[in-house]
Amino acid sequence: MDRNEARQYLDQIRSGEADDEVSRSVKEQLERCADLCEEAAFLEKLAAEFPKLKMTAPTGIEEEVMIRITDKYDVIETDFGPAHVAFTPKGISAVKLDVEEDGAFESYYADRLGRPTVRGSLPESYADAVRRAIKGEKNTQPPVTLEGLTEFEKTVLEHLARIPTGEVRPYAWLAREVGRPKAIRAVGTVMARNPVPFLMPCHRLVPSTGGVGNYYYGPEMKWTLLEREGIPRENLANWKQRGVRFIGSRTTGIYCYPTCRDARRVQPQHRLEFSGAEEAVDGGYRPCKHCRPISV
Amino acid sequence: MTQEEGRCIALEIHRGNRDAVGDLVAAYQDRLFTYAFHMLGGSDDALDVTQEAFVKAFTTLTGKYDAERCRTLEIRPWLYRIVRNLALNRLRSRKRRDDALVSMKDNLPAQVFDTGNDLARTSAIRAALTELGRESRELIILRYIEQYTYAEIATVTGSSESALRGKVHRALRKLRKIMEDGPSGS
Repeated sequence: MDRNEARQYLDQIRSGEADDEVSRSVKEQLERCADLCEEAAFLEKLAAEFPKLKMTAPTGIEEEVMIRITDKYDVIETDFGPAHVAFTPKGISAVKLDVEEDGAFESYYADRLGRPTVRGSLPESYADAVRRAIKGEKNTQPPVTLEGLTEFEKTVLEHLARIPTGEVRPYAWLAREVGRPKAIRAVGTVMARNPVPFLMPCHRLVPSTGGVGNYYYGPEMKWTLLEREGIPRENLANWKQRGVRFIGSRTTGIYCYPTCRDARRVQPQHRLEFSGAEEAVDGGYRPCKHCRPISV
Repeated sequence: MTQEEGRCIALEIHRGNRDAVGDLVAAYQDRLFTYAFHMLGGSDDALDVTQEAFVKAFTTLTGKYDAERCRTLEIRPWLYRIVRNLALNRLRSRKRRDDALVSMKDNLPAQVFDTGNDLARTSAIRAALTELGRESRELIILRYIEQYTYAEIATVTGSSESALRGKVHRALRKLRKIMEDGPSGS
């Protein structure tokens, strides 16, 4: 209904010429207009009220948040003696044994990860994860945070964590896995500086030539950890002595690292030992898809 | 804080700069607290949720997101979404708790509004909002206090824009009715 029409209808209503239909529809329109005016007025009133809904946060939020995101550490008792365990809201950030002096852990932590840590209370699940790792029990998804490490360190440690419990791989293997096959020494350095030993299982990385190689807490602890995970000490020593690098299966035509779960399943009568990948490949064997042995 | 500054701050936090968290808190605490307060209808829970949201923002930026994700993050609606999820979780667990209470004590109201907060009593609109229901209240806050566009509200709540227009309209209707009829109940 436009303006002129409306005027016409009004005239008709005034003069009594309009039929009921017209007068009702005009009345409806007018009522609707009045409704809209009221609604507009209400919105205007509301607009004045809205700012009152804005609130000011109580003081102290910043302090509380900062406290909660500050790294904490606690000392727990383990099979290997007292361990300092640092953690953030995201997970365990450091584990250290043999901390002798007061303050030594704090300064190690600040040096290593570039931020302070204060004494706090370790969540029981974290303490449990550390104790389990030290006992050689399987930790699916250890609650670890690698914040503060370099990208290379993070990549290396993340790939390291994929080595299953109870298996070992050579340093060169991990270098290949992270796409830097020549960076074997660099991988070794990452292991030596691993802030979360046990949980990030640097004890599962061994020399290509066999044995267990070096460990931050000495080779004896590395032997022990691997033994707890189910790798008999004499096996590792024996393979090293006899120069066994890979195990092949005559039935499948596949070769593996000796500790690979697939190699452990091979029946003695089908089992072959290789002193190098070349030997296996020449014999018509292909690398295992689980342990992905390197070809050198 | 502009969008650009928001991205810088996200990236700074991602890199482990804890001071940047302080800046983030300073820039957003009032708004997030307002939002949480009206979602939850009380200041104790709102304070908890606001703090939790900042901690969560920190852990996500440093732990889950890579640098690229932080560089392109729209931090404002993202923070609101965190607060929203935390608040909804809390409402759910509160409902479970209250349901348990109700079954024990029969006729307890399902949700008790925190009238202990002086601020909550100062204006009629606050009182009206509390009667409005969680969803409508949230939309009024986002649309008229934060002055979000419908597109922005959509990214926070996950509803479609056209649905939101209808919802906001109905929320206003309801609010008007409550305010004109005066507070009900008590």
